[in-house]
Amino acid sequence: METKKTKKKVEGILKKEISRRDFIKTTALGAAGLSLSSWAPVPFTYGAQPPIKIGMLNEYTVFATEYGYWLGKVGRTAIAKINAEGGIAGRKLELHEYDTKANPAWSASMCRKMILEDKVDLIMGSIHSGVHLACFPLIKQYKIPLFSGGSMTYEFTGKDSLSLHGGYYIRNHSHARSQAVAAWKFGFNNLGKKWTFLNADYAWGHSLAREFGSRVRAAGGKTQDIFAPPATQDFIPFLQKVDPDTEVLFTAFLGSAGLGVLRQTVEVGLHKRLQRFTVICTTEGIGQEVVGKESIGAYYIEYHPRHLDQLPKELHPYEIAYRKACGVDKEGKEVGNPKVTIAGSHMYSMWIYPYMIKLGIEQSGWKDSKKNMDLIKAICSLKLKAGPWCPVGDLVMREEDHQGFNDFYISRVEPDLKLKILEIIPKEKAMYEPETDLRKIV
Amino acid sequence: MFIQKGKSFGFILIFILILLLLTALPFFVDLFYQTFLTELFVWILFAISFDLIFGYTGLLSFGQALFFGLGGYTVTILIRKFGLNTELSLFLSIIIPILFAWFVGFFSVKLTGIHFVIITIIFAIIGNIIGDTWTSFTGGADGLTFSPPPFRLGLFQIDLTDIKGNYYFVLAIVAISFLFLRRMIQSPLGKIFISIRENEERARLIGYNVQRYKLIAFIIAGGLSGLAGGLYSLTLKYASAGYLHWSVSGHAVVYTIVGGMGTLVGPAIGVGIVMSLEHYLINFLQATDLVVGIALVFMVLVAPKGLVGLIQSIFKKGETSA
Amino acid sequence: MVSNLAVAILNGIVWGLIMALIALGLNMIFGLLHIINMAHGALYMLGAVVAWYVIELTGNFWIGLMVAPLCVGFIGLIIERGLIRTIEDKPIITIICTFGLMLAVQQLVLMIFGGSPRRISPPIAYRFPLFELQYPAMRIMIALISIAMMIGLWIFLRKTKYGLWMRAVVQDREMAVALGIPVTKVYMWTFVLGSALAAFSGVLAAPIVSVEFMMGREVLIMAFIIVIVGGMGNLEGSVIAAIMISLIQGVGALFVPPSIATVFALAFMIIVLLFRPQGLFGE
Repeated sequence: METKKTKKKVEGILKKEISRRDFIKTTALGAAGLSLSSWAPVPFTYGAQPPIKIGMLNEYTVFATEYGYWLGKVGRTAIAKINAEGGIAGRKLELHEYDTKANPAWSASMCRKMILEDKVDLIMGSIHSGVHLACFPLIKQYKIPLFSGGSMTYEFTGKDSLSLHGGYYIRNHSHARSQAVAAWKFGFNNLGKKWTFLNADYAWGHSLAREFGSRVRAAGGKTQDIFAPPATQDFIPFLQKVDPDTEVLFTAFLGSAGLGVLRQTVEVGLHKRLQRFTVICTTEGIGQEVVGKESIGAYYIEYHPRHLDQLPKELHPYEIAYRKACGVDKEGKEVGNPKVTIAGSHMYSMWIYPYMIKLGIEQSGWKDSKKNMDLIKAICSLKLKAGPWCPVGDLVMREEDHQGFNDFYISRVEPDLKLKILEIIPKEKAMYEPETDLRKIV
Repeated sequence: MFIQKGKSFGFILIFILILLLLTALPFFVDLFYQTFLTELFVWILFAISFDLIFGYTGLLSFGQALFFGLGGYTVTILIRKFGLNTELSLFLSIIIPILFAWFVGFFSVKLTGIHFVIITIIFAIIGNIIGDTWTSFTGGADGLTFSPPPFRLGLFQIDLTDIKGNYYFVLAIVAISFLFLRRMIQSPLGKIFISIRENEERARLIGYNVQRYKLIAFIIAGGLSGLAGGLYSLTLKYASAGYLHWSVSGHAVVYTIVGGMGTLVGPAIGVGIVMSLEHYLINFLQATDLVVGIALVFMVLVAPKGLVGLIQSIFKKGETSA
Repeated sequence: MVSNLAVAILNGIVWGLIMALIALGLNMIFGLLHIINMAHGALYMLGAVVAWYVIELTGNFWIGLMVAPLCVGFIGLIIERGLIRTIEDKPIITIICTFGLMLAVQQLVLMIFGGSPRRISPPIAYRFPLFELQYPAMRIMIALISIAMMIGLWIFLRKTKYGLWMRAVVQDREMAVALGIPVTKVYMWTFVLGSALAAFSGVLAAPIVSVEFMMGREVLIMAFIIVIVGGMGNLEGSVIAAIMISLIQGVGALFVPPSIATVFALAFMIIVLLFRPQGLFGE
């Protein structure tokens, strides 16, 4: 993970790392907390200080529930752990949690309920771009920070950030553009120059086709776009449209459609003449054994490996502790429930946010909503080092657009249905020039 | 005749009392309940517009979502993309759904019973597919946000980003719409609607052009659904293709059935009960739809005329036994 | 192009046969009880979910295919006895009641089964070449099972006492009562049979699609469309309509974007509704 070739901007960001002493202190604290584990009785009294209220929105019903289940579980665990370690600035965290029903309008109501009735200080969660978009007018008006659980719309930290959410949106995970910046080259160099995108016919599918496709074309490759309804069940009509000379089939569907497209590609024998490439989002929380042996040989872009042994060795201690706290085994299954697979590449966001909030509050001296922007600025200038609270390795927040970066992984499904990491793409290679500058907000 | 007058006098008295109460309320309840009630008013408008077409005219339209969504998008797109003022956008959020309702209704009212249900669902699905696919214009499933300029009416100016302003604004429009619908239902036109519901064949034999009156009811209901959609996106400052999904019409069905169809007051009560139930349940239970579903089945079995019907039948029993 | 067309046609027929089974259940219930069962898609989903549990336990697809329709048929019995019976003479009310039922069943399955899609492995993994593509033999087998099921249904309706009764009730309810046919019993068994058919097709479709609590939602609308185009109460019409619509969609998707193809299919539906409300194949 050398940073020699990266641009000056990136270097500038990395320079402002947290001091070594801070790092050791937090790591030690974190380790102590982990050894206590989440069942330990709360050993602190919080005095008369009011709790810090955290709102959480996730997809628990209707759609993308495999994500909601894990983001919720990890978020709850992380907050319980912060509390077990003494809360933040002597204050306990109080969680207020709601279902988005994957319905933006409903979520806006829930967001307002959290802000006005529960009087939450911060909100986190949800992988649904529409949910975040519907909450933007509210968080902008009431100046409440919103921490994205996993929405992949690149524009949210793009050039319209200020008018969209006034700078109150923070994202510590990847999105369609950073995924493309990080991973297109691997596909182009190793899998083929002629790509076909078979994506869900809505914003997410289109933006992946656009971000990856433009880079492939710019490098002299050829692309073909096929869009199918997001809930497609039978893919044969679409698969037969794939150009005969296509070398890479990039697919993007969620849930059962994501399963179906991988499986049916094999059913029509396409896997023999082309390489399959996709983002982990398509089978996140589902597990390769559910896709079946049809997924063997497919390439994935992961944002955090599903299998413990695929993670770089130096991260193992942190990852083991993180998995233990969240009830996850080393193969990425829920402990005691081996049929449930983790949403490993997404749920870590919810693990890291409470810690980022803690650091942010400590650094900014935040007490209440009056200093929310200071808190956001403190959080967005964090350069997290790998640790118990940051098992994904170093994570850099960018002040300009409130966007975070960490390493990417390219993996392939092996005959034993394991996602084997072929290449680690350092976060510097996922970075692009920020399109906005939120530092000037007062 | 005298009894009628007495009844309507009583209604006006109660109506004014409730209105006064609601006007005073923002000074006593906190901001959240003001926004909750604002949203509740919007759904009341949607539910009573549905009651006109279903409760009074007897046509189960699952297509109201289309007009609701069109109204929402009219306001959102006109303000966001064309920079129109709020007054005109909101006005057009009635007019544009009316034009669409005219078109959809022109075909739909030729059908009756289950065929009518299906054709309205189909129109809503087409609207939803177009909204979902035409992302450059509608934002698709993710939707569009906007910030509405203040609403100006003569010297008045209402800031819609202010919760209290929004509350009074929506309350006033919904109250006027309620009175408008009530007045219309008591007019000869309303009597024709009811006669169509009671016995379409007889209404035709008397000499009414049944299809024409159905179309009129459909257009009025469509316009008011559009207004509800427009108010909804003004309240949320957001609209998405999800507004157009036929299951949004399901909301209106639930409210109307729980409250009592063909009463106007019933659907309004239904909205209050179901939304409050959801609001409190969400604190213990994620699956509020489970409760809504069971409540719907229960009401249909036990009190198909809704709560208002239930109360009325209790009163009637009391009268006959006395 | 020829090969694409061949695949599209073959696939359209296969998919059409599965859809036909779902639509048949819906249409039988409609033809006899005159109710639109909004919970039909939920029963289809329930069939696949029950089969998933059975297959997890036994490891055998065929046992799942047998057991799931029985279980769902039993649930259908409870629904008919407990709910539909009391409101069967009010068609609009039954729509609303079954709509509520649909919401409740979906949420219950979500709470018990969980939200992430599961898989039922196809019992046959063989694929045969079809021009430059391949085609899974499983789908052909599913189509054959559907056909067998339809023939069985036809024999049941034409050659058995219950079938005769059913047809009699469809034609003239009063007369059937006068002749001593146990009409309420016929209603009950029709609803049970319709529910079991929905479950059966759910299990058949499961190896192609995935088992998920929302899997019935899109299918329900599709089944409605088929029933209307084919003619309400016209079972043969449903089969023809199912295959026809699937073919149009499959072949259409070769030339235009899928969402446009769907819009055209829906517009076609509106025309059918307006000019032949009795269905394309109705009398």
